[in-house]
Amino acid sequence: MNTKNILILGIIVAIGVGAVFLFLGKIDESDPAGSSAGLIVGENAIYVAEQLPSNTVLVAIVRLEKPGFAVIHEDINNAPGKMLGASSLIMSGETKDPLTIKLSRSTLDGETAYAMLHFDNGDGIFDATKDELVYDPIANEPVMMVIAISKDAIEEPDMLNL
Amino acid sequence: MNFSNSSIKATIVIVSILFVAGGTLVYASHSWGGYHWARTSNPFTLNMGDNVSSAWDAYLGEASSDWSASAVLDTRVVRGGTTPKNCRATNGRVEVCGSKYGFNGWLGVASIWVSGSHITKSTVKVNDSYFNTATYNTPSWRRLVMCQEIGHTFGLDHQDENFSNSNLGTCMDYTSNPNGPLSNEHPNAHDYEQLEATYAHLDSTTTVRQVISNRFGNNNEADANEWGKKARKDSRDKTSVYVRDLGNNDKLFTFVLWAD
Repeated sequence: MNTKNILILGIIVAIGVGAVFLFLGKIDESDPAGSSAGLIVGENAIYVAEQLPSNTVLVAIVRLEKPGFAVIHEDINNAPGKMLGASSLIMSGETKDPLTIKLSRSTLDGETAYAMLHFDNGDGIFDATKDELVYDPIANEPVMMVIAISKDAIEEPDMLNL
Repeated sequence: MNFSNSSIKATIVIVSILFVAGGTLVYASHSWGGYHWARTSNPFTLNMGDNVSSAWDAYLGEASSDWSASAVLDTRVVRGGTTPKNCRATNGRVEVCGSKYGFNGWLGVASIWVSGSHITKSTVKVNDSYFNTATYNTPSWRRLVMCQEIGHTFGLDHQDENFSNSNLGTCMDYTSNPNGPLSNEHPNAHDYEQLEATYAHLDSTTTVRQVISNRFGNNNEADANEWGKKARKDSRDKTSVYVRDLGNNDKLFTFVLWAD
């Protein structure tokens, strides 16, 4: 086998190996535990699974076009009422890991809570009077996830895909 | 080192072919992390609990039928095992739920619980907050979302996540226009190929819950695991009474009238 053939063979092998790595890379890319990608509306989204009564809420996914916060509210007449807790600053993009939000009180079995999104005003500290609500482009209403609280809630799913 | 023109051309052609082949290989691979239902034979049947409103029933049925065209799996729509709002998962099957989950930015979400690489249970939620709006209350959007979220429950990921490019002709492709062209309302050949690749092997155990009776009693479906221990057999030697110890001296008796 002359040099040219060896070189050609080497290129073929290299490309073949590259293709395999590309193939495997795609699999790995789709495998981050707790990650998601979305059949989403607009640029901002939030997902919270059913929660056990607790003094925390686990927010599975937040997607934000700008840095902001996830905020939990209690229910007043089937609408968000008093704030129960807020996350620390969330960077833009989609969260890779669930967020734990500490609440000012424990939620109760059968209660409904709401998770809402706010954009940071630039200071990195949540202030409901300064950090504007994130609005849904379809409903022109604040982005909001209705959270069911139940003592019978099951464990959080291992993977989500929107 | 000297190369002839023909050698260089041949090399370019081969490299080009391999690039195209590599690209096709990547395009065809949309496994969701290799997760799959454990089962000991193909095709296997996965039950889909119907926890959606009548507005969704036709789309659930259509998606079930579409995915059952796969050579490796069948799906069957059965009575739901949860409430739409809570949408709790049931071992060994998929619960499909529809409710107003709020204007939260998502149209549908699929969740899986896994043990190793094996899916043990799954839920699908479709968000009626959006599907009650004029924008999304269309057959094409309902078909796309139901088809895609159910596709995730088998261990499929998206084929493409760009909303702005041309449709690939599969419900596993993001789009802002499900009608197309091409229509993104149903699976395409690549989805079935990926399912065949994912389920090409067999497992030594199963995470798919088997229904042992088609219909009984009040049109409910259940399985022996939920009924408890066998307590009595009928004249055809099939168990006709099951008893489940609920604790505190409470027992649940399940009487079964078997279909032929």
